Amino acid sequence: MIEFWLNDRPIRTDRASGTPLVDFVRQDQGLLGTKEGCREGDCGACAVLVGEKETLPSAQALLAYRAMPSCMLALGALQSCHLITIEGLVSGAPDGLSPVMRAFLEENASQCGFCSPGFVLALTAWLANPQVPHDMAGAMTAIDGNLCRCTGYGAIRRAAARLIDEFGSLPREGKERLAALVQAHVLPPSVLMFDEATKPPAASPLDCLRPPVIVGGGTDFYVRTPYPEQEFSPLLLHAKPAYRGLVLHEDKEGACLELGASLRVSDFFASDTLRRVLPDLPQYETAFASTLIRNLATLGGNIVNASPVGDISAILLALDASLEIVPVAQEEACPRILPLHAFFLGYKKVDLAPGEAVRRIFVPLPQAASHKARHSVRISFEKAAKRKTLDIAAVNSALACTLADGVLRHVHVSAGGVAATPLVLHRASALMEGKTVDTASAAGKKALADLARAVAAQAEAEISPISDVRGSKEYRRRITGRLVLAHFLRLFPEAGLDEELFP
Amino acid sequence: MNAFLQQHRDAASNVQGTTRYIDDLPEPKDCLHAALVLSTSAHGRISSIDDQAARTLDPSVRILRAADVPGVNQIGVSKADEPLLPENEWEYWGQPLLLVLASSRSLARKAAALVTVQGGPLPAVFDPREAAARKEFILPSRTIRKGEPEKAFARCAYVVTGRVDSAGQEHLYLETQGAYAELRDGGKVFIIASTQGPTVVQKAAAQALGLCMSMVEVEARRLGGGFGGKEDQAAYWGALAALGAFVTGKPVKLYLDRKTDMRATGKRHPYSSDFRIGADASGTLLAFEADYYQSSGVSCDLSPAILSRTLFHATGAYKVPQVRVSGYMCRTNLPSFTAFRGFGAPQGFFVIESAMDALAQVMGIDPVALRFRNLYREGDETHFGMPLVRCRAEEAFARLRDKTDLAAQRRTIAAFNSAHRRHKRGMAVIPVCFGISFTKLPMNLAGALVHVYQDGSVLVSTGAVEMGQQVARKIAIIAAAALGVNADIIKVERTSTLTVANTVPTAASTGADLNGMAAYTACGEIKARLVAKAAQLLGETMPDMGTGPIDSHDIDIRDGLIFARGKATSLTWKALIAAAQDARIDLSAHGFYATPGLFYDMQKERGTPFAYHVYGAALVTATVDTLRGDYTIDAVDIVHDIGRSIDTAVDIGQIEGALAQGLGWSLIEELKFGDEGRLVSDTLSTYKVPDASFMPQDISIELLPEGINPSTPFNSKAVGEPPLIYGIAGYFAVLDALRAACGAAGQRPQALYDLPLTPEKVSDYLAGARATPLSVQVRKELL
Repeated sequence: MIEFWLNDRPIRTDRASGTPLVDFVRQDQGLLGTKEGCREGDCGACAVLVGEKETLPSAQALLAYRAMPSCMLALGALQSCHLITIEGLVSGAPDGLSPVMRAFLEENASQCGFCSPGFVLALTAWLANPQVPHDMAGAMTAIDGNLCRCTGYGAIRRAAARLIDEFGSLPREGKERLAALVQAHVLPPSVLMFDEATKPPAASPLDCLRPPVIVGGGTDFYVRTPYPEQEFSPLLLHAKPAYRGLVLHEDKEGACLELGASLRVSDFFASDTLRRVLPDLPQYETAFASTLIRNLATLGGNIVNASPVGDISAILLALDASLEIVPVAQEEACPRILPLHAFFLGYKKVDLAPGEAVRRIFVPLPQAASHKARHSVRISFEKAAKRKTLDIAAVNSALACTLADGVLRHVHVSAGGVAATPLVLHRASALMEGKTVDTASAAGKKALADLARAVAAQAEAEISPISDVRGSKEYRRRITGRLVLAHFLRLFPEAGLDEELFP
Repeated sequence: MNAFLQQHRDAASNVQGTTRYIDDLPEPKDCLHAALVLSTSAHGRISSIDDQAARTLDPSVRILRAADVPGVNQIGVSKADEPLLPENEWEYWGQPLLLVLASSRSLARKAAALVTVQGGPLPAVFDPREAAARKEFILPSRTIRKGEPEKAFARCAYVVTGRVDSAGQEHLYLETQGAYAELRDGGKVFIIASTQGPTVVQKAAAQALGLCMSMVEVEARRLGGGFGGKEDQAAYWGALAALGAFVTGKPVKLYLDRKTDMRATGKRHPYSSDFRIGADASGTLLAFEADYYQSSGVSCDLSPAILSRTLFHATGAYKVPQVRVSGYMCRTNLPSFTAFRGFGAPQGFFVIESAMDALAQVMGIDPVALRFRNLYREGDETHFGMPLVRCRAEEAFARLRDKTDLAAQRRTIAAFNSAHRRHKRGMAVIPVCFGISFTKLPMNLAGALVHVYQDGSVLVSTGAVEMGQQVARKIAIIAAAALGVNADIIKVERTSTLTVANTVPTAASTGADLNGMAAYTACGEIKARLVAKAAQLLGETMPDMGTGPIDSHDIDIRDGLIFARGKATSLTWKALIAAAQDARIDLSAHGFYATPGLFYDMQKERGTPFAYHVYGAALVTATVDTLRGDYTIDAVDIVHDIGRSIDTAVDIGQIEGALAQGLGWSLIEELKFGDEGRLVSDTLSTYKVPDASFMPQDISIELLPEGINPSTPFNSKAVGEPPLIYGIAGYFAVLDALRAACGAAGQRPQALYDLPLTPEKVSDYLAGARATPLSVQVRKELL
């Protein structure tokens, strides 16, 4: 039995937990404002708002609303959540128009209208999220998973500008902010009722015996299986808050970041801890899929689906991550620990026995030898794709290293889209390991540029790309080298490598 | 309803999620759902169909094949080459072979997956040039000729030849194709279709079912986008749903999932073309020749009308004294390519603009100057003999030049490029001259039915289908002005073959022009009756002031008030309507409009196929990251001729939307077919269209001052298609930046006219691959 709130009331359903939410909403509930446009999370027409209550480390309960694509969202993941569809927003406003809707009308931002409910919900979620900037860039990121084929986005941008004017200075504190948004009819009153009536769900063990399928967020699973069987009841890791931790372990020798496998990509990038220990990383958030998908996709899911161009895989490979693997039916059993690069066996093949799941991911944070900087891992991520947002890479790559006393250590260059699995380019990495970086002298700059060229050439030599819809093998090989050069430009901005590399 | 909501009635239901598209229509209890069995190779002969497993899956499963089509198994409009369901052969990968019906969509889908169709492979061709070499044509080729370009080239100081390719484009209407059909009393077939042409669906369904058109009723409510994809090709899905309902006696809903839609339906035609362009020493064009190899796909569909528009727009916005342009409709084993916003014109514009770019390179002159020099001017005649009246090409270009200070822009870009090693900037200006009217002449008509109800409210029905272009809003404004009332008492009704018969599809940018004129005519008739009645009423009550009795000429209706000799009277619209009803005056009228003055001689290839032209010009600037091989579009400046805008917000929305589609087609939308003819970009994760971050923040649109345009309501101009051409400037802006990146090597004339200009191609070009040399002839003695 799945229990959650649908708009202004609690409901229960015995439909299978793996039912795509879009089908439940449209077919069972007759809520037809949620539109089906692509069933692969690429258009945003089916976006819904999901409110979820979590217990913070401070023991306070926080209610947060996120927009998610309902075509990839398993019904079972809604357990104890508050689902708001466009109908819920309508019923919350006195004349049936929430301020986001009104802004769309005032700016003529709805033409054929098919995408409009999704845009309205995505921007409503943006207003509700205290952690994101409420400026134009923030608004555009909020809708990076929504396609409109009619307007060319000009009118949508103007509607967003109105919202920034109107709501740019709301309280940042979560509870106050929600209350203010309800007051302004951006969110319906049911938000307060839900907050009042529910407690964060208790952490539950993985109580499932040998489930046929284990699903993380579902953002890859439902692309491959858009129409699952009616009885489909997978084990939904996304619905397991216990698997969503992000913990920093520190001692004198170094530190390690422990990431729950079902930690959502958006939560990962938003984490204060992450921002502290890997300050280079959050800037790459928007290169990963879209806001809608990041709100649903999990780190573990991105790894386990083993896409050769998985962006999270590329990043975690460069960070030399390891996986903790457990049999889901016996959580107390001794886990296996496996380096991530050894986890990928072949195209979409991973070292995971039936009934096993990735529980945690460990990211080592080696300290610089000097101990001057406590967390000194530098990382660069690059992606070649047609669009800068919501696109799958032709090639992606990450380079992580430490630099202490001018010496490069812990170097790992990764690349995706260049072989059957995401790769660590061991030989390219080895070229850098132990090398001295001197960006002060002309000779040092030249040496660094030579190193960049050598690593790029080695990277190109070390891969075996194929041609497909996202690019030819020649392009992929060449661009891998270019992305390596781009890493050097990013990681050593003080070296002025532009002059050396682009004479 | 408050005034704000009243004003935004249609859009309000969109943002509230209450607009009902095909998949949102209520389903009666016995409704069957459709799924399709598609072919899995490009060409083959059906040898056996095994549907045993599918039939036994569930008692509700029905599988329909060609033999189940009771009427003529044919829906081709221009040519009988499109079977509804194929009898013996399939001709492209993704062609629907069987219609599967079941009580739920998931059952239908499951059943369809259980069917196997066996068949032997037949040879297939995918490249239009290869099809042409094999003489595989849909229809005979066409040539428009003016003068003797062959001889003129001998007098040119510069002659350049080159090859130009443009890929197809997926419509990506957010609502996929679909239809709902049911049988009504008396055996009538009722269809609600997501179609731009209800009459097209009506005709196709009637023919396939063996019924008279009077026994088939089709309505279109609101489409979740069309862009040409639902002009003719919606007939297919409407007719299939109707077939299902007719054979089973139960309602049928058919709504394509995205992948099926992308695989099975036609798109913008891919073209491969050759050009030859010649100019004198000063850069004045003397001659132009081109051969267009249109990949038409497996069937005729709208290919000839689309080719017409390519040929008509072959010289873009430029005057060329001697022209020969020939088009070939090459039959390829691909889905039948079809209408898409621009309708063959973008492909033609891309060829002439490539030729202009090549010529400017060869001459070593500023492409902006070359383009300006050769613009059409008032009174110039096109290569098919149409004089251009009220030509605004130069006005638009000059305004853009002054507004954006093109010379300063060029200097700024040069300064940027010398200051930056890794990023290079480029710019391009493209002028537009776009003919308005259906290129198929008999289609230039429209009808309207207007009812004024007893309470004074007004219902307007026309042939125009609302698909997001907000034609309903324009028609309401036109009808309100024609009647003299406020637009908020006008309701524009859905489009139905019941209210207006024999309509043409809402297409060719003409929806508001033609249907607006028909509505205007009908409203005018009603108004004339009302004015006569008002004159009578006021004549009885108003004293004769010595200027004679009041008659119809003294009466006007404006803003819902009745004026006599310029003065407001106490007679209200409502009272007048009530009095007219009491007097048994007809408060309904049918309006009809056929664009006057159009003629075309297909033998001589001469005539006036267009009511008028739309002019404009756009400047696009772009920055290339030479390391990563990608780019951003930085800014777009547009000066556009809209005549007198009926609704500026709507028109700006159309310009911005068309620009996005044009930039998408030019740069990132990569329609890719594999070696075996299978569409490999068949999902939204492999076919990327512009999103909000792709579009530049800096878009400035200026409308030219109002002008005269007698063949439309209130001197307005059509807006849907012409601005799509501006996207081509994005291509040339990126190319300009690429040349800057290549330094001296970039200044050597070479061709890279292969759209879309994806990051992959940019990277290839920067690596020295991709570009091909232009063939150039320079006659020194003429310099």
